[in-house]
Amino acid sequence: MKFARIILLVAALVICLVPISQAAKSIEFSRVFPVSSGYFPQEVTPVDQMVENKFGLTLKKLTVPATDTTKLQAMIASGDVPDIMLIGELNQAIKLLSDKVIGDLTPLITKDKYPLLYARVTNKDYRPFIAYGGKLFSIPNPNFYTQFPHVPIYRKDIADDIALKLPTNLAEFSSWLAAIKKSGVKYPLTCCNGFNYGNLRMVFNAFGVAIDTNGLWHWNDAKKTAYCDDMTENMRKALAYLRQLKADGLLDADWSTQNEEVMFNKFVSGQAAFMQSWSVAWWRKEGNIEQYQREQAGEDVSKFDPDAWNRRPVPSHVDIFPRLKEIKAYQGWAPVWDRFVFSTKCVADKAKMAKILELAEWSLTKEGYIAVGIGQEGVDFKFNEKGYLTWLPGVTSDTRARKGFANLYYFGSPGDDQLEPPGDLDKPFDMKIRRYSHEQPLFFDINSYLVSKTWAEKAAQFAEKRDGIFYGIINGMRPVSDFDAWLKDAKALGYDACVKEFTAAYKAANKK
Amino acid sequence: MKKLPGLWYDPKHKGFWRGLSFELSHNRVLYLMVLPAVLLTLVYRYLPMLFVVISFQDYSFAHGLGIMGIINSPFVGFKHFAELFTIPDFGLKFTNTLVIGLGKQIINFSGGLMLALLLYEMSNRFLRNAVRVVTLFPYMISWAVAGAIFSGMMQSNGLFNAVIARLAPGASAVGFLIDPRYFKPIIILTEGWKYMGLMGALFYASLLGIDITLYEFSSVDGASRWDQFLHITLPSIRTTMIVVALLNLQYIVNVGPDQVLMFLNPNVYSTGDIIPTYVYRQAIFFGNYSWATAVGLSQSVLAFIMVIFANSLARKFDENRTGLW
Amino acid sequence: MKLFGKRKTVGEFYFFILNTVILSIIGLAMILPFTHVLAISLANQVQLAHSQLILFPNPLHLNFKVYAFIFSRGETFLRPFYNTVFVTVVGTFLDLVLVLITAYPLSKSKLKYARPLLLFMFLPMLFNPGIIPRYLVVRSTGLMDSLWALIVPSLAGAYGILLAVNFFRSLPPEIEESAMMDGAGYLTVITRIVLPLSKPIMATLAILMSVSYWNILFDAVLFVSSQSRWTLQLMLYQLVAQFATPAAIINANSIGSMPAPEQIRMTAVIVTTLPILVLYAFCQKYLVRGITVAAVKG
Repeated sequence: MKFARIILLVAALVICLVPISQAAKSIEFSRVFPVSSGYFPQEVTPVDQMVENKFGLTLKKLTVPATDTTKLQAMIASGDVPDIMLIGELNQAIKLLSDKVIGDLTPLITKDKYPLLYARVTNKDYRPFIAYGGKLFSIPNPNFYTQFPHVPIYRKDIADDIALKLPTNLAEFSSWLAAIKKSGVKYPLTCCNGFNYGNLRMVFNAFGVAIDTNGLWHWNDAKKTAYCDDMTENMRKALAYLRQLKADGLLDADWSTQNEEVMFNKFVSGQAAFMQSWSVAWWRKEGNIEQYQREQAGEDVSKFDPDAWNRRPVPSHVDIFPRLKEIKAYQGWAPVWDRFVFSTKCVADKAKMAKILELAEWSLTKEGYIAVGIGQEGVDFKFNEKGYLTWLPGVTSDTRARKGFANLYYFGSPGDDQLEPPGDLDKPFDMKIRRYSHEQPLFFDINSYLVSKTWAEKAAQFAEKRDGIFYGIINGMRPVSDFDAWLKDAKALGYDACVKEFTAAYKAANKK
Repeated sequence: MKKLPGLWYDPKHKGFWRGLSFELSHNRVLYLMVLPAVLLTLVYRYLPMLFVVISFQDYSFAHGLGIMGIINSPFVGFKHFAELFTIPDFGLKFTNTLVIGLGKQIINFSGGLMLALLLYEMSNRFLRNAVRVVTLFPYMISWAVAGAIFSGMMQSNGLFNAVIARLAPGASAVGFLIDPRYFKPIIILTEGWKYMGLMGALFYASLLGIDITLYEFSSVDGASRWDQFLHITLPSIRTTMIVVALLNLQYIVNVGPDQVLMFLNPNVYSTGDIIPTYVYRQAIFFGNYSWATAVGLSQSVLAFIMVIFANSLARKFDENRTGLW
Repeated sequence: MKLFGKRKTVGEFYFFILNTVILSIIGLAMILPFTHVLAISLANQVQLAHSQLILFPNPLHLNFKVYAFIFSRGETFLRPFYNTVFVTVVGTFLDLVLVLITAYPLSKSKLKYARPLLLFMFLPMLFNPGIIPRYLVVRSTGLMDSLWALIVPSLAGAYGILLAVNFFRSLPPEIEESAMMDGAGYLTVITRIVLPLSKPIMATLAILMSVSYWNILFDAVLFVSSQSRWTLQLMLYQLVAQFATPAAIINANSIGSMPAPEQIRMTAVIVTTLPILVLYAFCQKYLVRGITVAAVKG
């Protein structure tokens, strides 16, 4: 059996060397994605068929059924590097580049051959996420920004019961929470361990208190230095405030140990009135920066302007989804979340790369974009008058195939069976989403595209020390003064060196 | 006895190779029976062990993939082992590891032993069989599920707190999962829940091997149940107890991260973070294989020394010279 | 096992009561989490949202939708089930045979190299070099993407061998010696004498091994790629992971028609453990029979 496979492989390679003709030729390349993309594998989907007919490409799937990349690491270590990989972590991708596991794409993507792709990868705002040291090592996932923003969500019915209007600042928010608690809801504010206390910061950002945490590095233009917001006095105040909230019973006692499902159950069943989570539906319409930019810039992708996203006025969304009224969302996502990288062997194979780049170029045209945009509102689904999701005739009617192909390109897609209105819950509730704006000057945090050596080595240790102390403070196990102990620990770990390195890197990146 | 021709006939001749070939041919059937397992062990257990050489190197994919990567990576000696001690709060993590490991083994062993003995002494057949079957259920589910179940029960609105609220109305909910003081007991007891049945089954199987006539004769001689227990039951399973204890000794040091990870959260790092979980987090983040392997190797060497020592002790003091080998 | 007659003294009676109480508590403690899992898998979703605190399935409101949901993915369920059964049955059988034929010689003290060999088998248990070397070895022995990759590397583990060796040592040597005096070869001794006496250890080992093969997940993640070779655990793990994505969680809770990931996970647990539990409970009868018969004979 194995022998036969070798013969087939050799035959396939031989065929690849023959100049490509109109007839569908089979070029196999293996691609690997960690399965947190919810990809349910099928051997051949109708969309794969379409791609094969159009390009003569056989997409041989090699899914990694694991939510971590241990298998991928093992595969690379043993030399079975897949042709295409989807890597989320920039640092991981850079490490693969410096280990010469993935190849440099710069000579391959030229303006005359692949104009749309060229415009994409030379765009100065995407570039830091896909290139390093002058080498372009990846193609961005064309559907970034179809991620889900974190937003504070509250139960309108519970809020209406206490007849307070929506709070607009921190003080009003606090009394709002207290009033909800008085009305009998066990935890006015709930959160989950998935994003730890960093999730809670968005609550306060909603009401004008800019507390960016979770180890984000920012640029202080006045002092011309980079800094980490975990070290600021603002953070101390935030911790003290959260601690008080918990002591008053306004914060879910299990916020630091429960997972998203438990949190959702509490919210859905009315045990909690306010939670921090994703807003999927809104994002599908308004959060898709690609669509937004296309609407703004038309088909000329070189005119994409990410800052326009920041500057646009807050739209009203009454018409999108009847259950969503005022919406605000946290905007701190990096523009490139996942990136496609290619093994050195694949990059060296001219014929294969030509096909892949052709496919990538096509995905940026309108036709290709629609095909790839499976899973986006307006493309293959819309919300009907009752506010429920209905499918539009898309590229294919096979929902699983949709998911399959969509996951070739991006993370996350709607579930299969969202066609019936909720009938199981006691009473349908209104989900209201409150949006707030990000007050920091930077659109995204530095450390998602700048590299500091000390930070790269020590980030995990920083996080551990920090979490141990911060969690303890919020949960009442430690006094607020332990924040000073944290400052000391951070200095001991090398905070100053990180500041120096990030500052230098930022200055270098922003010289022009 | 068949006389074997040739120079290697007489075992009295000094010489390792002659002795070896004599021994092998004299008992060739027995050694042949052992051969398949030996080969399998060599290939699938010893060959991977060669990989620990990377703990003495600066291994990375940059030096090549596959076996070439291992061959080409530069040697750095004990550098990564020295880094072991630079782990933040190393002493604390190490003590946590040992305390948790020791606690787990004590609970598993004594719990299993107690369970087996109680089952053995239970005369009601239905209860005996039912409990035997049921105590093995926890062994069959993975820690991912068991962890989810137990953390669910320990939440502030979970089962345990509900019971507490009933028994002591007015008391505030206990944060089992966020209070560092509860972490170690939780880990040790849930491990007991999972493995007590298995340990019990091991001991029970050897209890079944005891000759019943011993009891009959001794009761004729006037021995009470308690006497029989002390002088027949316990000594008969002593060898099993020693072997099981020796087999599980390594887990005092080689604590697996799976279970602890289910319950670990930043609130309890001070009492709950053990070396394997720390390494797991670092390795996931950075992929520093050389360092992670060095830590694993140190743990294994420590376990090895412990077991060798314990085994020779056991053989010395036991009249049957029981040991693992 | 009734050792002799009725309880004769008051002390024995109190002990019996105490024993019953303790064993019942232990039994309950062991089984309650399972009934909890079963209850969640059969629960109505509304109930579930309100409180996860159910210990027993409510016989009046059984909800089989989640099971239907899992089994409805029919083409992707039967094959994995078959694969897992294959790995378990073949693996347990081979492993048991290997362990027994390895342990028997090594339990003979007259064998000069028995002790070193046992040490040789035991040593790797202490050293775990990690996933990369295992991957490399499995790959170079050509087992990649095959169900045998789940069976072969786990064969003849030291734990089982050492337990079996200990058991064989406890058997009285006179039986074998007298048989061999009468001219029996090793094969006869083993099949006619040792094996029938080994029922207890065979039963124990069979439990250990079958559970371990049935529950293999991580190795399957590493070594199995093509869908036709997925095991049950892998398929259900994938299912749970897929439905635990943010989109799925939100959809499940806000729209309510798709089962909650929590429920899917619990149902997956029941589906994956129930067969092995049933098998175990079923084989119990035969094992017990074998054990008591052997004990009486011995």
